[in-house]
Amino acid sequence: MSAVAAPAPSTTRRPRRWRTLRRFVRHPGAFAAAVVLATIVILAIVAPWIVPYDWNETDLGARLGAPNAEFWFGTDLHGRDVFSRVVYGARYSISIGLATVTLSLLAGSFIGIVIGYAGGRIDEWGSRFIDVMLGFPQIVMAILVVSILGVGLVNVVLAVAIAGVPRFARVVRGAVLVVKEQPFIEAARALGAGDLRIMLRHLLPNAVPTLVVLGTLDLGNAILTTATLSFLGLGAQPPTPEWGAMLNSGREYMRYAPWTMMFPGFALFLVVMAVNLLGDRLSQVLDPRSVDRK
Amino acid sequence: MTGRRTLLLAGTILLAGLLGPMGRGHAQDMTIVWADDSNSDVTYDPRVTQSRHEEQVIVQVFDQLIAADENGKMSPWLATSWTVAPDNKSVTLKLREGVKFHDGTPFNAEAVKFTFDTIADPKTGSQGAVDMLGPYEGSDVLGPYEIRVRYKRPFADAVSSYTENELSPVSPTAVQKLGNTGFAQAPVGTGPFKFVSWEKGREVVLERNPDYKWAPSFSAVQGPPKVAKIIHRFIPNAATRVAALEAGEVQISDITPPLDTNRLADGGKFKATVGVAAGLPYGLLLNTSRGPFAEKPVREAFMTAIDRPKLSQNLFFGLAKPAWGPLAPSMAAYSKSVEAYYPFNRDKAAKMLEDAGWKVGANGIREKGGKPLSLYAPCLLEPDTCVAIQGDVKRVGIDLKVENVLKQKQDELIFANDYDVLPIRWVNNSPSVLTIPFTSANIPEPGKFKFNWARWADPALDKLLADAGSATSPEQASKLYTDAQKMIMDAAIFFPVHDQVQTVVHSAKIKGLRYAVGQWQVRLQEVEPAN
Repeated sequence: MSAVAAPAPSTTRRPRRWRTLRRFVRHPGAFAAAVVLATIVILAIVAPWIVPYDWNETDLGARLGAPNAEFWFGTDLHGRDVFSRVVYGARYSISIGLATVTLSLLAGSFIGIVIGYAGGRIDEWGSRFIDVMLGFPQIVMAILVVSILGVGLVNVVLAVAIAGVPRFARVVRGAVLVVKEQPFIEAARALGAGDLRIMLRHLLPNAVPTLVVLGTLDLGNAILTTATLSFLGLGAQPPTPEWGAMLNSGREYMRYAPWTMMFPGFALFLVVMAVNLLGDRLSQVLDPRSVDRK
Repeated sequence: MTGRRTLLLAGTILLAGLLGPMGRGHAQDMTIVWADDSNSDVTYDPRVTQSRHEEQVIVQVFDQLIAADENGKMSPWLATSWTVAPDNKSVTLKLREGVKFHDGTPFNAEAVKFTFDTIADPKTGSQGAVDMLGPYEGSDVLGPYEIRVRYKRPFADAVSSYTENELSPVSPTAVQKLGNTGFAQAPVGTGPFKFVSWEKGREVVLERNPDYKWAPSFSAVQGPPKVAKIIHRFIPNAATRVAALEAGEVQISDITPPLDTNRLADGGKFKATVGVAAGLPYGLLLNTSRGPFAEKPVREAFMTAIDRPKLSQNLFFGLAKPAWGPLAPSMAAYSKSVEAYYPFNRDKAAKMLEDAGWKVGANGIREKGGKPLSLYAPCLLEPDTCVAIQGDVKRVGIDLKVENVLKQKQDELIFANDYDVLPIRWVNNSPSVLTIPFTSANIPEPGKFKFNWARWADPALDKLLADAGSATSPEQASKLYTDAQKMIMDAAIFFPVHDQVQTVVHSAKIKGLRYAVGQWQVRLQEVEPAN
């Protein structure tokens, strides 16, 4: 994650790239988070080769068996290996998070740039609409969308993405409003650049640092929201080893087999915390006013 | 000041010393709290209800004409004797004298006639009782305590129907005074407990009927109950019920999770009593109208691929037994012949699919003509059971797509005929319950919610069930129901999974809980301190 996310904003400022990255990893919290996240991502990628058992194979061990040398995280009600399921669950949670954020980021930026650049009545109406959408808590919004689209992983991704759109749109619109009045935009227009070119080549790149920070911070949120929906039975369906769904199915047996909830919960906590630490650090590094930047 | 306080204290201690043992001995103020897993009760009118939760209250407030113990053994109650006409089209009952409803109305033949007539009246909106009353034609009052109940056709179930909670006599004056809606909120019966109050979604309060002296002969407590007050508290969350039980806030919890039931019963401070509910066991209806399940060999292979004894042991930790037929083994009409059907045999199941042309394809899922052997199972009841079945059938190459659904989604899928497997269960004391999910008249249609989710139409089965319902003798009915059970199993449309169990856990300080017939509701009339 860190290797991908950090250099992105500096494409137009090549010489600063390595300094930014260095400053970024020097922070102990961010460094630890990067290591944790990298480990989980790698585990998720190589899952098929490293997990000891098929995540969907029932009756491997005793039902609700405690963790032991054979089953590191214990077994669930159906005798499935919790470790294999948690590792596979990383694939779902992380890719769902990324897909969700990408969708809301794309849609949100598009809306933000268009209404910010167009101004006038379009901006007025668009902004009011965004305000209204922001009035709903994200989870309530997502549940509303799921109730229209129906349950399932894909629908939950869409729901959480849609619920995230207004925030991106709002931030991008703000960034566009600031940049729009700068002399270099006027210069570009004087040189004959069209609206589309101005939006894509001049306005968008200037919003990228903000988008990266917001996107990273939102990633943790998106992972948590999808897990919440799965926990409520609206998202991933059995036997998918999505962490939220695993938490839900372990709930009834928490007293007798806490490991069926503990490990997916801990994995969720690790990923969300790592992503949030990275996001915080990114916002410091990329903020032009940050003292730390000097 | 100090002196007076000391005196007061001494007096209190003396009084407590005197009253203490007395109070315990007579249990004058004994209150028990029942924790119920529902909070959606709407009526306590026995003539209207079809909810097993509502019946838990009804069973304390009302008596029946004929008493049945937990195993269905009948004995006189509000009726002291009964005679069935030779043609099975009428029953003459002699009624007990000296019985009064809670509002003081005397119980007599008029009250019974009023109850039955109003059940048959569509204005009452009866959901359960009207089915149990069968082909009711009318009642003749032969004397103040003698009544003849007439039926349009021979009705073999007549006598056993008088043991049902739904046919409990209601107080005619109370119904006339309160109206049907008012009566549903403030029921008046002849039972051991009187209705006091009902706070929706929170609790119902019942108090002892001090005049009660007509308990059935099998009851250990003749005369008024030892319990002064019952609080029927709605606690839909199982973990909360268990916590309340352990904290001593409630004395009895119904539908206790299996692991908690075992743990509490082993600890010594609690006792568990497990009822095997009458009716349709928990099972799967297989949609025969579309997809792979239109082929009978696929349905048979599906059933053969599932290890029921292991599954029920795994999910219920020994509390529920595997089910083998469409009726619960606790019912008299249960036929042991069903136990021969579809024993678990994974290799045989695989071979049956192979022979039917379903060959193993990508990812181990079987295919035929390019179509995967994929079946959609929306699971409203017991998703964990569906997941366990999913694991079993995957081993023979069937891809069972389980989805946790809510009631509304399930109902939409039923209307749209968009499912292959649906779980069902039905608590009911009569074998005529088989008509509900298996007769062709009950195939769901858009706008008409019905329960033949297998969408199975077989005129022979329809006729068999109709004949069994109007059989002229219980022996003949029993024979016809045996044939019906076999016919249903032969058709491979219903896969019985496990017995429905009611797991009631109660404090070891009390005793005397007794299941009503059907083994779901618990009668609290005999409850008393354990020591």
